[in-house]
Amino acid sequence: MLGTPSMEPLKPTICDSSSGKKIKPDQEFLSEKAAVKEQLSAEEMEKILETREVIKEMALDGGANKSVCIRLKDDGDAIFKPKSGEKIKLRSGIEAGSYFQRERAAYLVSKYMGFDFVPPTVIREVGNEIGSSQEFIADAQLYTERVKQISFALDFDYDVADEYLYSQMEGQFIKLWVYDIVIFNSDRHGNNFLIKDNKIVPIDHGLSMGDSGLKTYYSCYDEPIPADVQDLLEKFSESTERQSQLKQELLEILPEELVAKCFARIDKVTRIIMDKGCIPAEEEEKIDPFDISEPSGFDELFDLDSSDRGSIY
Amino acid sequence: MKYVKIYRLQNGGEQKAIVECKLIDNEVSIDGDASFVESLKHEGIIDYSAETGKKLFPADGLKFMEQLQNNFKSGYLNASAVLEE
Repeated sequence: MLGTPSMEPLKPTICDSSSGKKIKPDQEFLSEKAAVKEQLSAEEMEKILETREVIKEMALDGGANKSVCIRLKDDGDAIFKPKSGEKIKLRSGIEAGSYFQRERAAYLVSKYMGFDFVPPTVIREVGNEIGSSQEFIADAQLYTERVKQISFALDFDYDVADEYLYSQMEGQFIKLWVYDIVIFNSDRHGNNFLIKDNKIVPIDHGLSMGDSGLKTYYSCYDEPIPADVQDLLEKFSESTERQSQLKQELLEILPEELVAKCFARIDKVTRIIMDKGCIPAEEEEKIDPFDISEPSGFDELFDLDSSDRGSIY
Repeated sequence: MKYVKIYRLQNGGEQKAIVECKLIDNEVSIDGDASFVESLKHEGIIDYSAETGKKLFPADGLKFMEQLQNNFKSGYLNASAVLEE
């Protein structure tokens, strides 16, 4: 999401100087807009997504659920997923009609915990329909596209190219894995995270915040957790302000039970990683399905005591 | 003949059909963008109709085709329902 009210809007169309004919403007327009994106804070970008006038709606073909590419006035594009288009229940425990809220919840976890890699995602109305609206990342590759590019360039088989990319981006893959555990993502695959400027950009989190069927791209049990991931977990565990903000914003869109579970996962993952520097393989069976029998360091946030755990979880 | 189209969203909001899966004699034939064809063959897709979330591959025929739209729904990459020609 780009541009602020104070910035001069870029011209939405350009002309071929030799023929005077209008030529397709979108790519250049979006690329120029993308160049100023990093000047904006997450809150500014969320505000733009929430409030800018939608000047074009492009219904997208395909997908089990409806999705629409929307263009915002003086800005870039966003992927809008209306609640009314969520027709199919894809996971037990995750009702259709709640995917758009989970998209926003996954973004909030990324933002407040400091993962900072999910594109800004808000809930808004477009054409009297409520849904999630997520910044469209221009000029990004799907991960599978990057794998094939490497496969072609280095004459590797697809699987070898995939492993090569893991070796080149190991820290980012482990970060994605930890994040997917925290949001309990049941739907990570090579076509729902992007690569932009050699960084992983996770998308499509409508099937997160469940409690069974964790689905990550790589499993990284026993792998040393990178210092930057340990650092963000530690900082979040020490910041009651960020914990409170995350809890408050999650409770606006999800039932308390799901929010409490998310905090319990954060607590467990943080404690294990701070203690061991990795998540040992023997913890896997307590992570999927998530073991809620142990008290969480965040129980106080939810006024829970041991007698409440059975009912709220 | 049953078929599924898979669309990639381009900069500017237009979609481009990058892959077509056709059911021929109970086997799925995949034509189109090489990177995507390879990922379908190697990574497979999730079977959302099964609680276990097991993987499906082109050899699984119609079941594979039916699950494509449940797997590819991000907006960046969308698969159609199973269509009939």
